[in-house]
Amino acid sequence: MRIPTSNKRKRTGHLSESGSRTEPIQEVERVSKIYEGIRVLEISDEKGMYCGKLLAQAGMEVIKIESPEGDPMRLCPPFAGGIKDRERSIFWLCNNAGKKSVTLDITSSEGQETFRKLAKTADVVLETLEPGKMAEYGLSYEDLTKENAGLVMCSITNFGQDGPYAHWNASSEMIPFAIAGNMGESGKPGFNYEPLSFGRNVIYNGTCVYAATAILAGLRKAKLTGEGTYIDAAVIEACGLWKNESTANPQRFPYLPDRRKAGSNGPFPPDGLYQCSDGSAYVVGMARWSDLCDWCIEKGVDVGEFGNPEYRVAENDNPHVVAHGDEIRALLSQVTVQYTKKELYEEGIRRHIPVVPMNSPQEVCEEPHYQEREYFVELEHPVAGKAMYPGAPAKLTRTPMDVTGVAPLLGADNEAILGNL
Amino acid sequence: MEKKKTALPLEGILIIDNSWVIAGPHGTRMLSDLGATVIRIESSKKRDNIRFDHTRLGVKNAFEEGGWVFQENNRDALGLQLNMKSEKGKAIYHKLVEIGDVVVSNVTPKAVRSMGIDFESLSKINPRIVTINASGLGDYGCKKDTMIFAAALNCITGLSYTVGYEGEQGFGLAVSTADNIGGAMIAFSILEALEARDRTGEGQFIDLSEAENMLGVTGATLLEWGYNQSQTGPVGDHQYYGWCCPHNAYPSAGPDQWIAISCGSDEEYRNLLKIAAGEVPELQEERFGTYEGRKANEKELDALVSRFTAKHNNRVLTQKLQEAGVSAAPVNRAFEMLADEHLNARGYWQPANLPVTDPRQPDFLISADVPKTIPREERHFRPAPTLGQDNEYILKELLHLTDEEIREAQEDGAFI
Repeated sequence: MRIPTSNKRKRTGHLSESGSRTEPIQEVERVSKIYEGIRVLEISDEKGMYCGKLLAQAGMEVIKIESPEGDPMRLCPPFAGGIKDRERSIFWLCNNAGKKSVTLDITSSEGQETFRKLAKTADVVLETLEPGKMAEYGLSYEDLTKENAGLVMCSITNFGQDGPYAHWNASSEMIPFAIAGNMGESGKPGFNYEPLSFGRNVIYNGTCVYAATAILAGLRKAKLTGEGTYIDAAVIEACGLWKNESTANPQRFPYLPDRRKAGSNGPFPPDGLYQCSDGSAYVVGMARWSDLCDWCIEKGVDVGEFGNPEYRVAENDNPHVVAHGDEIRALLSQVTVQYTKKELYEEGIRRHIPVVPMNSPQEVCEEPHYQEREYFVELEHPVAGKAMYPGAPAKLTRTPMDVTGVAPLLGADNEAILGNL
Repeated sequence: MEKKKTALPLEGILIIDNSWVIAGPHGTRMLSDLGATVIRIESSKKRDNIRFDHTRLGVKNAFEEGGWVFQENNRDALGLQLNMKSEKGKAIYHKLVEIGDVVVSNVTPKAVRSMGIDFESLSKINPRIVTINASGLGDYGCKKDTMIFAAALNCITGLSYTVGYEGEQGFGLAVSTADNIGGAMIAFSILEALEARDRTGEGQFIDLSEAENMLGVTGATLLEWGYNQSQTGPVGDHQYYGWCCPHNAYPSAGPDQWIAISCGSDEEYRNLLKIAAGEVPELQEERFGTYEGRKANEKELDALVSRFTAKHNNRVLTQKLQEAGVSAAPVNRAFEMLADEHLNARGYWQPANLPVTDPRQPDFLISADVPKTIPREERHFRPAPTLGQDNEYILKELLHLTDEEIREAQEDGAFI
């Protein structure tokens, strides 16, 4: 359980004003010490794992509290090497990297007593149980702050701690997402296609970034005032914020919104997804028809009347372009098929037109840009083995955050942590 | 302006906000909810083009007041109209940097430098300043000049590859998720840098690649490639990580009405049977009794569940299923969220307090702070600023400029 490369990495200075890369200016620790000594207790299923991971990446000690049998998500497929094993679930390994593991039966009075003792040593408690469960165990915010006034406690639940749906069943992130009005605007138009949700824990992980932010703020408040903070993070409220200006905007009512207009095409033509010779690419074409039109002409496409000045007015909702969106998209698609998606991407950068390839996970992992930025980090897990892991979500140039290690074996830290109580 | 917030963690922190559209303003909105003062900088030459959206079609002052997304992300911000290209305008900006804590932008690396808001320049004025630029792909690396917005961000990060219908190419969702989560990460990393500053006395530059932020969120998909060199395209609304089956959106009574249903255990499936088996007895077949059996026959199971749901109103059925112990929800359109009883009971919707310029929209609502850390009754949001709404307060009260200095700057074109 170590980072096999040196735990120091050369960090390069950001670009100088002339735009050329400066020489490496300093060697710094991979992970800063600004949150060293901050202890987080995490009782969390898939709703809060990524929150704990972010805190670990910021340098905190994150202790995952698991039942003696282990977190059920440890058995979530697929598995590293295809071997079913509680130390090999890729989903689990990814979202728990850098944490410690302590096993504790939180439903027993003995386990609750141990947790209470642990909570006295902690700065943050992160939990994702059903509202009211922690109170039932005698571990509510009120209970725990009696002996640790500055505690930050964050509960991540589907619907929040109160309100009519607080105790609704939601075995999946799709349930709050459906009510939040995002799903109903997504998917292909037409009644034959079901509305679409994100899968793969994107909704929970996205919510975690909001929760983690509130936790950092709570720690700041505790430092300044000695007071604790309780954070009620509701998934429905976080994903409810993910709305854009035209396609998924609740206030557009009473102007009836277009049903799932954007799926593969953006809000304003010729924005959208286009076929290339070897895949597809997204052209952020709104308000850019004039430049795209020139590109069409250069590539031998007959643009006809669509080359006229009224079509070239650079406004998102230029009524001429909007009215002929499908025809204009058809013209542009005659250009895009002449390129591979990589060529189209590079040509877009050259022309200052935002065009990006539709990448598969493989293509993301192999993209030289991320390699230059040392985004992926090779880690070796004692059971699952070596792999390139996603790294830190932001580069703080003086106090970097980074992945601090692999996910813990079940109960790996029982002795070290419980022995010291 | 009257201070409305007390005992919030970022009380006294001044954010100079050069950002625009969604990601940047969404991040500074979170910091504002945590007590920071946010000064939003625009000029008539460089207005935030998201001020206008279709919520305000036909409204006379639509661009001035701003549409819904602008209101959502800029409520409580102070508006400074400043032309940073003029000499005096730049000098005023530098005065702000002297007293400020954080400078936020979300433009390309090149634009950061041409605007003169790069860390090298600003730290000479105030070594404690924290600067952040949230560009699409980050401040260095061979593709750093990529211009990018939300839907495109989903494509380049591989997120869209996984979202779509089974057997088809993925295409992603229309919602601005990547920009919003990028905004939350802006707030997270600023808090981290402020903590570092408390310890070291120094500011720093945060190089936030919105793409890398999303790669963290979708990390398991990438690690699947890392460990197994495998990747899986869209699976529709079926669940990929976990044991929920059935797990889909099913048609309900009425045109284009849907209900989301998920069964995460055999028990939850048996609860579904209590409601549905009377009408569709095939659901009780033995092969559907276990997760493995349901997953192996998922398409047939979906067809049977659809046969059941199609006859029912999605809201009535949701209630029935929830009472029986089944995860279910109506698939709302975005506007239906406004009337949702749960969100309203929690105080999620707050009045935007806009001047009533559009009789068709008497109740323009915006969202409260997320996540919730203080009682929402204590929140009183000021509408997002019109262009230059707070110039006088900022120039006189914060920067202590004299009338003479303001007049000279005016003549220099600093406030156009």
